[in-house]
Amino acid sequence: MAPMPVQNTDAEQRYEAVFDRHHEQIYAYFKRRVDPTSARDCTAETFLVAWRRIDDVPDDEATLPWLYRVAGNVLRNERRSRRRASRLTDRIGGIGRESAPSPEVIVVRREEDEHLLRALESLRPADREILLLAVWEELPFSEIAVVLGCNAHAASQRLYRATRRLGEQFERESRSPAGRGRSTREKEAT
Amino acid sequence: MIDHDDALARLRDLNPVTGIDPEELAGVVATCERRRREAPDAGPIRLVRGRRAWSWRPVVAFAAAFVVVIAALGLLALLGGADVPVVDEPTTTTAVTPTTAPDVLPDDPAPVGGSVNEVWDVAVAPDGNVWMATGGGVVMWDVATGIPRTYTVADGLPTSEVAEILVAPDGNVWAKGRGWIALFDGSWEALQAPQGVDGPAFGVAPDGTLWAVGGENDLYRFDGVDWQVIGGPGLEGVGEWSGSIAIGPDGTLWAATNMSKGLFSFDGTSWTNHADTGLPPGFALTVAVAPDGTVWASAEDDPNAPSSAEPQPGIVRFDGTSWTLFTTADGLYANLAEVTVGSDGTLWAIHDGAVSRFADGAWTAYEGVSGSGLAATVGPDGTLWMASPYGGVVGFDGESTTQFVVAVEEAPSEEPIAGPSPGSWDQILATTTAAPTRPIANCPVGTDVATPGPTGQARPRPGYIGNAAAAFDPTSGRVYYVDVMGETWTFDVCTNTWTAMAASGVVIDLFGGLVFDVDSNRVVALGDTVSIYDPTTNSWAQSRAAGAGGPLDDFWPVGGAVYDPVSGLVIVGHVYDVMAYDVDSDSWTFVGTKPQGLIGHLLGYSPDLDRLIFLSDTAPTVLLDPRSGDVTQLEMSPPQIVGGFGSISFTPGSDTAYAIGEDDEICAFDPVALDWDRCYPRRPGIRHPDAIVHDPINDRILWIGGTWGGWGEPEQRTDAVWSLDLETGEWTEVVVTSP
Repeated sequence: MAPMPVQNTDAEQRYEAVFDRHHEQIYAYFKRRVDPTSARDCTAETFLVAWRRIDDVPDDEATLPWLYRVAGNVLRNERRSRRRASRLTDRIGGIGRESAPSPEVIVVRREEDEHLLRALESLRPADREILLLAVWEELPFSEIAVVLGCNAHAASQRLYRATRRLGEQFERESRSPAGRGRSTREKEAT
Repeated sequence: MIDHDDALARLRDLNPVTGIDPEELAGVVATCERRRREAPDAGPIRLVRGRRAWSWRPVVAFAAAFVVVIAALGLLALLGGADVPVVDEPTTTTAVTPTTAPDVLPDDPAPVGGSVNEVWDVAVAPDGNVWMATGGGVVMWDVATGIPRTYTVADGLPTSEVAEILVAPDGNVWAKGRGWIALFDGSWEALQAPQGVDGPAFGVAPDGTLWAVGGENDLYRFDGVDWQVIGGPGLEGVGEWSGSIAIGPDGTLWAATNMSKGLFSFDGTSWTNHADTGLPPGFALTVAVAPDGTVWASAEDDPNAPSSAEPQPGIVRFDGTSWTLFTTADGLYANLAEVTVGSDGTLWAIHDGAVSRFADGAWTAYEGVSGSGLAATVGPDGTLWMASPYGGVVGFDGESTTQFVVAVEEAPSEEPIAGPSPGSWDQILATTTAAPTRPIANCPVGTDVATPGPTGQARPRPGYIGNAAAAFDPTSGRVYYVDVMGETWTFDVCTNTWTAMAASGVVIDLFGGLVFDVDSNRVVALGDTVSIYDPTTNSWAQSRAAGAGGPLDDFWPVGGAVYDPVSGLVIVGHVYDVMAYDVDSDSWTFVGTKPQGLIGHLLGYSPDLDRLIFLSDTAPTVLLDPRSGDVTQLEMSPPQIVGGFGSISFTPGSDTAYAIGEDDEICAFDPVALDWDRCYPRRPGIRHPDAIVHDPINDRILWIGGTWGGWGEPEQRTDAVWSLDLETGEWTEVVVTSP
């Protein structure tokens, strides 16, 4: 007698629906922020959280902001782990490998862009994150609010302020002699 | 300067990822699916149990001794290598007479329910799979697929707490717990074991005989049917076995001792004390035998030795004819170590914060590779596997490390926080009767809420925390406030302006705080009595339900109250109980019993989790499901959040609760991290506000009034209002202290 096929549980079906709808967006989120290998691991970690807490994952339009919120926490953990690993590598010596250049390095195309990216880098993480959520993840205020744990009004205010600070910082970068004519890669090498 | 839209447009053009290659995405999908398969079934939010004490003291004693000793002697002076004289024949033997040991059940039920990431022992099978004895069962990690398999009582283990594990030469797996051993040959078969076998080590000889050490110096043999107890060497001053035994290819059993008081071998008929074979003094704490019969042993420091004594000797090797000593002079990272050897002969020495490997006649040290110090073994490919201090195991092959942590499944805590038993939790809170959520108010365009309100404006009198309270109405954008004299005020969060309201009948001593009831558009004041404020009539009315008998006779709300957006009721913590108040019907309902240990508490709510949050200075943060009464205890609370002088604010429309601790640190509960990990800079100067309230419209905390001084200094108060911008952490005085 042929074995009976294993039926998916409701939780599995729901998880699969969430995963199918959003895994590309979540992977892109991480790929914009960390190297590809870490992006894959972080994506898996994010969906592992979703799987473990599938009962808590909200439906429909609320799903993606919830995932981004988890992704933000995963990213923070990943960065902490990376710092720990870096220390370990330093101690062991010779075991670690250089990580791939970050996407920000790759996309440097012209001096002005470089200034803008440098200005973005210099912002506080909270400012940088809301800008990227709005511009690269293309989230509306209502969804940014869910990700950041505030209301839409507060999200719009935060984005406005972050954009203003980006502009101010951009001006500083553009005026700074030290910031001219050096690629991000060169800057990192010094 | 680029303008707002230009900045965003340029940033949009710099998006580094505008599409994902399908092949790359397929790899992501595969990784996600593999990771998910490793995880346990989906469940509710993570339950973190309090750390429990391992009841098997010898294991702890050994582990603790090892760790302490390793730590204490990290700076041993170097010793030179030296050959040790050979003794061909044992000089001291003790005859033994095997006797049949009685079948003894454990004295008390073995504990159940530890964590799978509390790893007590590690073994590696010939196929490379890693087996772990854990507090939550036996875990087998399939290295090839990365998928773990956990065996518990449901699979035939007598208890889920497993202390030791080994892989026998025939490939079968043996596990040992308190009062039992179990054999796995595709399924688990559990066997009783004599009490003495509760000692810390066991091993299987090439002929299949299982040996275990226990008692002070006893040796036990199990032939598959009966246990026999064999006396130990019987030498004075030897003390207990250390928990390290090894069985050589010729069947000789080697056993090391606590405090490195000797190394003994048993050939089936007699014991040999290797102090008499030329073993240097101070050996051995751990012992390992390589496949070719070479014996390795390490030692620990002698805490009773005078400080001027020569430090410890390192690691010794016995090749059957002579003992050879290795120290840091030979390349060992440190002279204190635990030794373990693999089936390929690779020897590893585990130090504190480092490991050393012996291969091709030389030692290589690797700093920064470490485990928990509880267990280590070597795989068939020479990889070192150690119990990890972070849970699970960590592997090191000389080039890279591999970390494996098992997803923690929920299990009952040894000391569960006792909530109400199923059935005693009133389902009234699970009934959705709340009015539809009204849209949150916004301040007019162009409002700068950082601009202080009118100077010299009328404002509430300064008081004390606990005697004044605030509640926020998210739809009108007003804060309702009752000051120390029982006077009623409102505060406009867009203009930072106070307005005095005619009020009478309100309670004083607002132990339970003030809460805005969205359903009825009323404010509930909870103190020694309960009063209701109607903003439309600007009047207070005293609840007739309070003190009317039944469970409310001694009603004394403490720690704040929250509006429940599901049931539409006000949830209040009583000293021991959780109560619900319906403003419309002016009636109280007993809901259930509070978790134990939370007599003093602060009460908040997380809409994301739909959990009540209890803070206490006597217990960790506890989440309580208002629908079922289920309780989850979290692992951590921020150190400054305590109940004593704290205050908490959860406002309808808020994302979560904000609490202020004894030291005036404000933290927000993160419903994803399940922790109070969003903390903000302390407000400079004034300590102890009269009240705090979250303003969700402007995403800030309002800090109303304040007291400082006292304790021998003149006590001072302010009637100012400060705001904490939750985005920037900046404090602004939005109502300046009156002259």
